[in-house]
Amino acid sequence: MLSKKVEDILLSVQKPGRYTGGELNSVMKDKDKVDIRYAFCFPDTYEVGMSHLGIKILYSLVNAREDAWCERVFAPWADMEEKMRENDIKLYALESGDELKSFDVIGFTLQYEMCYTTVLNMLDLAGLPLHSAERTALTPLVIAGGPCVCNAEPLADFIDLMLPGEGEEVTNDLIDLLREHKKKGSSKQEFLRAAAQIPGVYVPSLYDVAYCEDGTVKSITAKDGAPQKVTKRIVSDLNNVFFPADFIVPSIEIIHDRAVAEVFRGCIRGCRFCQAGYIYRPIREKHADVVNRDCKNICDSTGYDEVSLCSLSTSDYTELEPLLNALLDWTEKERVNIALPSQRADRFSAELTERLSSVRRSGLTFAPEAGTQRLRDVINKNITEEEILRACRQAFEAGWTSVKLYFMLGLPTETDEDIVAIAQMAQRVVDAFYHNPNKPKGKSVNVSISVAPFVPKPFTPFQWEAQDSREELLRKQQLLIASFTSRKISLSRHNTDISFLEGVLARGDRRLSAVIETAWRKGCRLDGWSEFFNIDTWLESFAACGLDPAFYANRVRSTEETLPWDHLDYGVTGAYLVREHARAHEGVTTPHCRVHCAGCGANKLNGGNCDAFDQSNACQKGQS
Amino acid sequence: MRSIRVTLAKKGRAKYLSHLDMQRCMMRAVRRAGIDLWYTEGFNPHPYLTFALPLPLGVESESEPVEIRLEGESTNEEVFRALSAVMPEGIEVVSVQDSTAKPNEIAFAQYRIVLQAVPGLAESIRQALSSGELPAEKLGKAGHKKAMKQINCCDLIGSVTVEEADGTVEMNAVLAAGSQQNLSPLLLLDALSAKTGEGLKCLSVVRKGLLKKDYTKF
Repeated sequence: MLSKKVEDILLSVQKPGRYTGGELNSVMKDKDKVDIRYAFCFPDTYEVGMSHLGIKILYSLVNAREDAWCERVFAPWADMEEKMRENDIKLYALESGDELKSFDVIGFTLQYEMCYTTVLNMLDLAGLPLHSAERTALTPLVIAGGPCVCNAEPLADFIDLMLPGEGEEVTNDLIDLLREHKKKGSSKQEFLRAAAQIPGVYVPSLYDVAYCEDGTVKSITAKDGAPQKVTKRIVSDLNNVFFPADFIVPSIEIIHDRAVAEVFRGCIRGCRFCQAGYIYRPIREKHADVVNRDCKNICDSTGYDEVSLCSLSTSDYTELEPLLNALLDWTEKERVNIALPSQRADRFSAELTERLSSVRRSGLTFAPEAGTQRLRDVINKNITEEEILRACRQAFEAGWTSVKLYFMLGLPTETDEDIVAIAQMAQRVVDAFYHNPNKPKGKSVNVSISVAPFVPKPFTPFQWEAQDSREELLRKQQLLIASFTSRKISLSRHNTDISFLEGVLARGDRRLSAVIETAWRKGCRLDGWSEFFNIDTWLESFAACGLDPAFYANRVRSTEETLPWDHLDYGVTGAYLVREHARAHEGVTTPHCRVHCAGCGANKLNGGNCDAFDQSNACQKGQS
Repeated sequence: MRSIRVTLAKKGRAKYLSHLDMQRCMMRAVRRAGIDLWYTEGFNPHPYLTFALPLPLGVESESEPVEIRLEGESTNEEVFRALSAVMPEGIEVVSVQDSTAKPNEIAFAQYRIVLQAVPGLAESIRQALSSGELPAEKLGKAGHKKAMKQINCCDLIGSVTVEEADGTVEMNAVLAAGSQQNLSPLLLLDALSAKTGEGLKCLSVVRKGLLKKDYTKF
C-alpha cells in the first residue's frame, strides 16, 4: 500500500508506475501472521529488475511458505531518490509499502559489478548503516546472491552473508535457521556462526584476509568453525525443482516483457572468456514436458503473448525438437511467439526460427566474438567464419534484412590484424546479402556490429590475464572504426571506462570496500547507466584510498598467486582452469562436453553426475 | 466478427498507468480471460483493441470505453464475467455492450477535480475562469513537426462549476475532448495556478464520462 507521503510525490517523477506495486499476481500477506519478512532487492531500476528470472523464482519460492512473506524492492531513479530524500521517505517494499528496516532479511541479487554503489545507496535510503559490523542486531540481515557472489569481496564489509550458487534450496535452509534463532533470541554473531555451517553459505566476516607487501593476497583464513572452503550449492534434479506457475505481470513496460522458462543450467561449450559457462556447471537439463508445462502455466496466468526459452545456449538443448513440437501444439492456436535467445550460428535454422514466430519477426543475433579463426580458437568459441556466413545467407534467403554480430575487443593475444578482421567479416556478411539471388527488390541490408571490451572474470581460464588499459581499448576502437568500408555496417561500442571499472571490481579484493564507499559518498550510483557513470569520481576515490585500479585490472597474475576468491569452490578445479589457460595460449581448442569430457571437476557438485557426460556415454554405446 | 464496448473504471494505484500501459494491461487481461479475439488478416495480424480517448496519467476514471472486436459466439454477459475475473487491481469492468458510437463522435469529457481549499481559493478560481483569458502552452503539431503552441483554455471549456465543501474546492468541468480539440484537466489546473498565483494542491481528478457534441452520453 502506498503511503500518503509517497502519493504526494509520485506525479512529480518519471514513470510513477515503477514505485506503486499492486501488479497482477503480486503477493499480499498479513504481516502479523508470518515469522520472516524477506525483502528481495534488485540494485537497479524496476524495469531491469523485473526482467530477471531469478527474482520471479525466489519470490514465488519464499511466498510458497506460510511462515514467510517475500516482497520486492528496486533502486529508485535519480528523480525519485531526490524526492524521497527531500521528503524523508525511506526505501520501502512494493507490496506492503513498509520500510526496509522492519524486514528480517534484505537480500540483494548481484547480477553485475556495476551495481555495487547502488547496493550501498539502497541501504542508505533504507536508513540502515552500511557496514555489516555497525548493524549489530540479528535483523535485518543483509545477504547477497547471484553470479557476482563468486567474488563479491569488494562488498565484504557491507554484506552479512553471501550465497554462492543456486538459491532454491539454500534460501529455505537459511529462512528455517533464522526463524529458529529469532525465536531463541540469538545474537547476530551466534546466528552467523551457525549459518556458516549450512553448505553453500559464505559469511565474509568469518574469514581473515592477509596481504603481501606487493598487494597480492597472502592468505585467507577461516575462523569460528567456518569451513576453509565454501562450496556453491546446486539443485541436483531440475525436473523437480521449484518453478513458479505464475509471474508478476508488471503494469508498466519492462525490458524483457514476456514469459520465460528455463530449459537447462550450465553450458557444454567452455568458451574461455565466459564466466557463466563455468560457474553454472555442471550441465543439468529439464525434460521437455516439464518445460512445456512451465511455459503453459506462465502464459495462462499472465496473458503474455511471447515465451522465451532461457539458458546459456538454447540451441544445445538435447530435447529442443520434442519441446518445440509440444509447444507449437498450443502456441500457434493461442498466438504465442516462442523466442529462442542465445542461438549459436553453427546450429541456426532459418526455417525453424521462422516457424516459431507466427506473428512477429524478431532480429537475428550471432556472436562470433573474434574476427579471426586464430583468436576464436584461443577463446575456444568453436565457430568458423563459414558457419557464420552460412547462417547469415540462410537468414537473408528467408527474408531477413538485418543481422547483429557481437564481438569483443582486447581478448588475450589479440593483435591489430584480429581487429581489422572484424570489419572484414562484417563486409563479407554485407556481400552475402547482395549475392543472394532472391534478394528482395529495393531492400537494403543492415549489419550491426556490437563490440564490448573483454573483461577477465574469476573462475575462467582467463582469470589470470591482464585487461587492456583504457588507452589501448580506445585505440583499438578507433582502429576498428577506421577499418569499416561500408555504410551498411553500423557499430555500437561499449563505454571503455565502465568496462575498466567492471574489470577492477570483478577481480577485486576486500580493500575495495573503502573505494566503493568513497565513490558512493562522492555521488556514484547506478554506475551501469552511462548517464550516471563518472570515471573521474572513481579514480579520485581510488587515489583517496591509496589503491591503484590498474593493479586489479591490467596486471598479469601468476597461476601460483592466491586469488581473492580462492576460498570459494564453484566446482571447476584450479587444475582444469590452468590446463585451459595453457591451451588458450597454444591456440588449441577444447571440444565441447558432449564430444569429450575435459574433466572440469564440476560433476562432483552433483554426486559425480553430469548430463553432458552421461549423454556422451550413451551416444558412444549407441554407436558401438 | 462483432464489435463490443467494454467500459472500464480506473481507480487507486492504477491511475499511475499511462495510456500505453493500459492498452498492454487490457490486451493481457483479454488473453487471460480466454476471449476469442478477431485478428486482422494482413502480413502481421493483430487484434483490434482501442481505448476511445487516452486518459492522462494521474487521472482516475469511472467510465473508459474500449472497443474490442471478437470472433465466436460469446455473449456480452459471458465476456463481462470472464473479464471481471482476471482484471488487475484498480481496473474494473463496469459494463460490456454492443458497440454503437465511433470515437470521432466524442466532443467533451466530464471531470471532477478536487483541490485542497485555502481561503478565497474558490472565488479566485471563479474569477480566473470568467476572465475569458486562461493562457496555457501545449505540445501540438506545426506541419509535420511537433511544437509548443499557445492556447486559451477558456475556448475549450464547455461548462464548469466551482463549489467549496469540507476543506476542499470541488470543480465539475466539461472540457473539450477528442481528436480535434482536447483540454487535459491537468493543463487547466496549470493554467489556473499560473493565473491565480495560487499553488494548487490537487487531491484527485476523476473522469466521469465522455459526451457527444450534443452533450448526450457517448
